[in-house]
Amino acid sequence: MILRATRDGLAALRRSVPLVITLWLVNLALAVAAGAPAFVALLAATSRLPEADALADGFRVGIAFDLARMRPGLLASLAGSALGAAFLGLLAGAAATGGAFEVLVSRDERPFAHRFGRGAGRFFFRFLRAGLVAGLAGALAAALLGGPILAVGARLWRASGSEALVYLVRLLGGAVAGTVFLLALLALDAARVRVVREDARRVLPMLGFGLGVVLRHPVAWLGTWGLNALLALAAFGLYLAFRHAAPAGTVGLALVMFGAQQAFVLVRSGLRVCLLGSEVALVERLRPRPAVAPPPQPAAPPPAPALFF
Amino acid sequence: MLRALGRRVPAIALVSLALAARAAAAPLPERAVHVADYDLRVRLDADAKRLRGRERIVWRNPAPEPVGELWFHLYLNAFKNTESTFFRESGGQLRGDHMPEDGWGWISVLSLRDAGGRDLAPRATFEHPDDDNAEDRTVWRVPLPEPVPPGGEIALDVGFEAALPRIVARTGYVRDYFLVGQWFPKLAVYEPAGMRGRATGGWNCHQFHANSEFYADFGRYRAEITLPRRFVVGATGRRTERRENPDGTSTHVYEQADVIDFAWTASPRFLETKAVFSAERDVTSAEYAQAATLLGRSPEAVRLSDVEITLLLQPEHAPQAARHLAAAKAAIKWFGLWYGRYPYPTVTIVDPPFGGGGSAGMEYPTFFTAGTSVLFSRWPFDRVLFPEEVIVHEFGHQYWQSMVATNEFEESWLDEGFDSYSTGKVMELVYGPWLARVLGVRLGGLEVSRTGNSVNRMFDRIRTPSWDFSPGNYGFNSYARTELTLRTLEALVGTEKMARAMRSYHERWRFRHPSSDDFYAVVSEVTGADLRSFFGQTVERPGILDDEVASVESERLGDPSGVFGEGEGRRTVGTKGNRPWRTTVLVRRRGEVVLPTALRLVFEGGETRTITLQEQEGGSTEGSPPPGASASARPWVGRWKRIEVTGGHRLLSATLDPEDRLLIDVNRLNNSLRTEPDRRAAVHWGARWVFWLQQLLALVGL
Repeated sequence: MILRATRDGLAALRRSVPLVITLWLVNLALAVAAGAPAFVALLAATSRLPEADALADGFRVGIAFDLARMRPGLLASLAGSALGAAFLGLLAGAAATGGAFEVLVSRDERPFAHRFGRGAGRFFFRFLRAGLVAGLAGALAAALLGGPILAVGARLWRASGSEALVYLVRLLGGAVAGTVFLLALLALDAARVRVVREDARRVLPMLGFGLGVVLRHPVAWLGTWGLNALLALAAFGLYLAFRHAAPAGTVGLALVMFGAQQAFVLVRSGLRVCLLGSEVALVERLRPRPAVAPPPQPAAPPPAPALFF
Repeated sequence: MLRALGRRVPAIALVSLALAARAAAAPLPERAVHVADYDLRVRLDADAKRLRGRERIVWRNPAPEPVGELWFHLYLNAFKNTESTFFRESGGQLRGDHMPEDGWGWISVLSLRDAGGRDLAPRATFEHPDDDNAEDRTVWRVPLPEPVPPGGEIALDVGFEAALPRIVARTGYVRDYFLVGQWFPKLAVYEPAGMRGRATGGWNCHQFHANSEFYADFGRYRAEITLPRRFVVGATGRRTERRENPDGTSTHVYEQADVIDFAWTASPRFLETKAVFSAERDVTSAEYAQAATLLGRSPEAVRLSDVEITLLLQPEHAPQAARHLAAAKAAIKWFGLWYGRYPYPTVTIVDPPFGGGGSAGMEYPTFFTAGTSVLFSRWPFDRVLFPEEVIVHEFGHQYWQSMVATNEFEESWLDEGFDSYSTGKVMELVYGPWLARVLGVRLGGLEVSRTGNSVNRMFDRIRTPSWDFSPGNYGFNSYARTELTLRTLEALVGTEKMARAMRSYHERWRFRHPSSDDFYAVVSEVTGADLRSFFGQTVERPGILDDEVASVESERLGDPSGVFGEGEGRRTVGTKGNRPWRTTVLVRRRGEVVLPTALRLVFEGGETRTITLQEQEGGSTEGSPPPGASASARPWVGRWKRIEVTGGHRLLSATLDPEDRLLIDVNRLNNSLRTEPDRRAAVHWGARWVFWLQQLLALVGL
C-alpha cells in the first residue's frame, strides 16, 4: 500500500511539473518578501564592521552575541521577518494547497494556471478554517497524549538513577506527541482531498472523515509520509554535504550556495506534490465505501391463480 | 603602568632575569606548617543517611599573642532549614536542583572536651559575622577556659552527629550515593597580624554561603570511615587500611598530610578504575625542557612525580573512563609543569550519579567530583568536552585554593578565577580552541567567557566578598572575568613573564594563605612592571573596558576654493586640484577601564600604519607610514581622540587592538570600522535567512 501510494504520488509529480515550479516560486517569493527587511538590517549591521567579516565563513557565537547587543534592532528585525513569513505562509499555504489539490484532482482540460487559481480561490477559506481547527486540535491531542509521558520523564529526573531511561522516556513522550500531531495533519490533508472532490462546504464533517480514514489505516498513512520524509531528508543530506564541501567567504560563493539551497527547496516542493498525490490515491483507496446493496431479488412470481375453487 | 614596557624592555628584561633567578633559588615548599590536625572516626548509617563520629583535634596557635577562643565551621547546618544564610542566598537550589521537603541536613556537637576533660560546648555560641542572620548555625564560637599561648597547642575531643542533606548543592546523598563534604566540626583560620593585610590578629571565620565555603588551615588528617561492606569508598589521601567488621561493615582508613580539608564518598555502584600518572612516560623530555626554559628554572625544578589516580565512575559512564583519565593526566602534567609538582601521591575523581548533579564539579584536597552525561558518549555530543573541562578545572583547585589556600569567601577570584585562567590554557593546549563541536556549531571556551562580558558588567568589582556581588554577577566576576583579566595581563606583559609570575606566586604561597595584594606584589616584581593601575582598574574598581572606533573618514583634499581677496582683487576660485588624501579616525573609550592599546590603519595598496595609544597622553607612531604621509594624534579630550593622517592612500579600515590583546573589552565589534561597506557577511547570512524562512513556510503549509 505504501509503495503503491508513493508510486501514485510520483506519477502525479511527473504530470505536475508546473505545479512544483509554482509552489517553489511562491515559497521563494514569500521568503524573499519576508526576508528582505532582515537582509537590509544585516547589511546595515555588519557591512562596515571588519570584525563581523568572520561571519562570512560561518557562525561565530561571540560575534553573534556582540552583534545582538550592539544592534538590538537586528534581532527585532529577524523576529519580525520570521513572524511575517509564518503569517504569510499560513495564508498562502491554504491558497496554494487548494490550488495544488484542484490541479491533482480535477479532470478538466483547462490550463494549469486556471485550475490552480480556481482551486486556490475556491477553497481558500475552507482550507484556512480546516487548517486552524486541525492544527489546534492536533496540538491539544498531542499535549494530552504526550504530556503525561513527558511528565513521567520529569518525575524520573529526580527519582531515577538512570539518565538513559529518562532520556528514553522523554524521547518517547516527544515521539508520541509528534505522531499525534502528524496524524492530525494527515487527517487534514485527507479532509482537503474530499473537500475538493465534492466541493464540500462544511469543514468539520470533512475533518471527521479525514480523521476516520487516517486512523483506520495509520500504517499506510504514516508509512507513506515517512517514505516521503526520508526522501526529503536524503535531499537535505545532499545539500548539507555540498554546503560542508563548498568554501564560503565571497559574494559569488554565497550566490552559488543560494543556488544549492533553491535546488533543495525545489526538490522539497516536488516531494510535497508527490505526497499530495499519494494522499489523493490513499483517500481513493481507503475511504469507506457505502455498503453495496444486494441486487434486487426478482419479484417472486405471484402465486398461480387458483384455477380451481 | 604598562607603558614602561614599550621603551624600557632591555632594562626590564635584565631585572626580570635577575628576579627569575632569585625566584628559582627559592625551592618549591615540600611541606605545610600544620596548624590543625584531625583524627576522625565516623560511622555512616546508610539507611538513615546519618553520621555519628568523634574527632580529636590538635590546634597550634600560629600567632604571637594568646588566643582565648576557637571558631568552628558547622557547615552542614547550612542545610538545616529555610532560615540559614545559604538557604536565604540561594533559595535552596543550585543549578536547578531544589531542596526537597525531606532533604534537610544538620550537624550537632554532642560534646567538646579539652585535654582536662572539661566540656566546653555549653559555653559555645553561634555567630553570624557576615550578616544579621541570627538563625544561621554555621559558625560556632567556643570560649576557652585558658587561652592558648603563642606557639602553644590545644587538644580537643569532639563528639558529633549529623544528618546528610539530600544533595542540592555540594554535599549529601542521592539514593545510595554519598558525597560527604563539610561534614565535621572544623576550625576556622586564625590570622596573625600582618597576614593578608590584617592589622591585628583574629579568627577569619565566615558563614556557609551560596557561593563560597573554603578557607581553612593546613594539617594532617586521618579518618576511619565505617559503613556497610557493599560500599565502594573514595576519600582525601591514601587508603592505609581496610578492616572487615563482624557486623557486616567495613572500616576504611585514609591519611593525608599538608591538606586543608577532608571529604569522602561512598556508593555501591561505583566502577573503580586505577591509573598512574607517570612522570617518566606521560611527560616527554622536550616538555620538561620547554617548561624549564619558559619558567627560567632548572630541569630538576620542574620535575614531576608519579600520582596514583582513582576514578570512581558511574556504570552508565563507563565508555568515558579513558576520557576522564586522559583529562586528569593532562591536568596533572600541565599544572605541575607550569606551577609546581603535584605533591600528593594520590588523586581521586568522583563521578556523581544522575540526580546528584548538585555535588558535581566540587573540589577537596586530593579528591574532587567531575560531572558528565550519557549523551557525551554518543554522536553528536561526543565532541563536547565539558567532562574534560570539569576535570581539569576541579583538579586545578588543588593548586588554586587547596595548596595556595586563598580565602574563597573574601577573594573568590584568587581561587575560581585563577583556576579558570589555568583551565582555559590547559584545555586549549591539549584539546584545541573548541570546547564543543556539535552539528557544525563550534563553541570555544574563551569565546564563552567573552560572550558573558557586556556593558552590564560595569557595576561590580572583581575583588568583592562572594555574597556582596550584585545579583547574578558572582559567577562571571569570579570565573570568566578573572580569566579574561589574567589573559589580558598575559598579553600585555608577555607569555614568558606571565608564566614566571604565576610560577613564582605559586612557589612562594604554596601551603600558605595569600591575598590579592600578595599576588600583585609577586607579579609586579617578576614582570618588572608597575601594575598598580592595571589591577586598580580591572580588579579593585568596578568598570568595563570598551574601546571604540567611532568614525572613519578618508577624503581627497582639494586646492583652496571660495572667494579670496578684497575690492578689485576679489576672485572666486572653484574646486579643483588633486591633493593628497586626508584620513580622520575618531577613537572613543566608552568604558572606565583604560589600557594602552594600538590603532592599525590599513590603506589602499596594502599599506598599514600602527599607532600606539597610551592611556591619556598623545599617541606615538610605529610601523611603516605610507610614502609621503604624516600623522598627528591629538591629545585625549576626555575619553576621545582624533587621529589625522595626511598623505599616502585612501584608508580602508581602522582597527583598535588589532592583535586582540585586551580580552576584557566587552565589545570586539566596535573596535574597527571600514570606509566602504563589505557585503559578504550580509549576503551569506541573508541567503541563509531566506532559506530558513523557506523551511518555515514549508512547515506552515507551503
